[in-house]
Amino acid sequence: MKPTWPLWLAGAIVFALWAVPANATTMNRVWVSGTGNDVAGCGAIASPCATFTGALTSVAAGGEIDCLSPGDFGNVVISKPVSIVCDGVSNGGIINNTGNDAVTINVPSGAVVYLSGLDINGLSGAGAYGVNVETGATVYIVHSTIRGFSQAGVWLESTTSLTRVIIKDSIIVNNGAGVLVEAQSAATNVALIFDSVVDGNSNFAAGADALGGPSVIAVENTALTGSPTGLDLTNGATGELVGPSNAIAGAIIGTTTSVPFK
Amino acid sequence: MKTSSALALASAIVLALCAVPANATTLNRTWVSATTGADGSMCGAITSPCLTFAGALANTAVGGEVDCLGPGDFGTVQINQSVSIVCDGVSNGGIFDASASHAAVTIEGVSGTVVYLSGLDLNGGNTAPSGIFVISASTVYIVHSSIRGFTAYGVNVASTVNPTRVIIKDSIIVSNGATGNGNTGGVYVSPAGATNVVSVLNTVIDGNAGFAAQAIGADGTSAIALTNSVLTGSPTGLSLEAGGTAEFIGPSNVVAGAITGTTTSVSFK
Repeated sequence: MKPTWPLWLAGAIVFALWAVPANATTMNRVWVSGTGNDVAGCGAIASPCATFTGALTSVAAGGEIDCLSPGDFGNVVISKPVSIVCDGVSNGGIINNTGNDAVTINVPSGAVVYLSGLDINGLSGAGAYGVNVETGATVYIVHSTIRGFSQAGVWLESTTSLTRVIIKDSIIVNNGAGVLVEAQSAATNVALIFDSVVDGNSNFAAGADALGGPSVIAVENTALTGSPTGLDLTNGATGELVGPSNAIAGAIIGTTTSVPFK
Repeated sequence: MKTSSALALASAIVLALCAVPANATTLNRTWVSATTGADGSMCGAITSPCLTFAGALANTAVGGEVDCLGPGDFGTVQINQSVSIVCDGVSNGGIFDASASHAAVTIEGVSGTVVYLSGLDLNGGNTAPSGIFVISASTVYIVHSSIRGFTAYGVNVASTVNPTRVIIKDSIIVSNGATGNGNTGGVYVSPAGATNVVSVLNTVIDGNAGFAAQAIGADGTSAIALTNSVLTGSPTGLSLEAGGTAEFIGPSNVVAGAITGTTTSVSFK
């Protein structure tokens, strides 16, 4: 009997350590893995979380969620400034067939969200939006693929002025619309698209509607192709073509301005 | 008893092997791993990787290379020799710098020092001052890297070596500087009694507090050259002070926000 009780005691100590509240401490860098486990306190490199949502609970504001390996890490509602970085080691996958958003960004004014190396797939229209920015300040979408969403790949519908989305080196294809800017509550919303391909979206590649507030799209070194409408600017929305450096096929609705390179 | 004494002997031998001076032999290529690594005087081979960049650097030959075996956070590092750090593909090459006192990567070499950094993810957590701080070196390459969340500068070039060249390519330098502080921003060039030239190619510098890029020529020749790059989301896109200069090559650059000082245009060839 004697050899067993220290084991029991050790178990009790481990249990006591785990019994601290889930958010008692957060980490600056939290890991997810396709073979991880979402338990309270997950996220150290030796005990990665399974999902972005699980990891978000463990990460400090301004911290970073990184992929340890490939996986499908699930839909996530981002409520604080954070980076999610999955380049190289991971596909950074999110499969969405829920009829809503793969990534919802609803953060305080001034918060920065940085997304890099994500593969966001709406499963042929089963998901509604790839990335939906509801509030916040600045969102970076880098080295990512967003495809197969019924409504839009990226929807910028923020109530926070000034909300900016910067899309760089990304591929946004086969959605209802590619990138849609629709400022809400008179807030100014701006999307900057650099070095990206927005192709084969069934309605338009990029669109901005200023009905709710100033809505701006600026495009540089980017292809807006394979849609009936390349660029759709309504209700006085602004479209800036920088360069010239863009490939646009399909109609251009509304008035664009040219911004020369420097 | 016999078994345990043999074990003790083996341990003693291992201890003796490890007791050689740290840099008695260095490796041309050392490895870091966040999962299996351990720092020490013998770390760095692919079967016994180091845990941190600093640990690996101590065992890397001058001109050698530190490579990532997998993802991780490899800690802040002070580089004082020619070396490459390469983490593309297999790793995020992470450094989360939560120190308020020093840069994620500090480069303090001598004339002739060449540092090549590729595939790094530098995050200052809105606490640390600079992502990369070049105090002295001849040439620094910053490639395929992301630098964000530093309170002063993403890249701070203040080199005493004449000349110093910094080449930034395919990188993303965003959200640096202190909100409302016009003297902070993305790329800062302020040489210390030398010529410092920073070339920025195919890079996005966005959302930095005061400026995207600044060259100050008060104490040396300070120059920035921009090709296929984006300087946006700052009150000042390009700040040239006290004779600091900038060249737009192409034209191929997107610059939003004010330009203070005089720029020149250089045609593509």
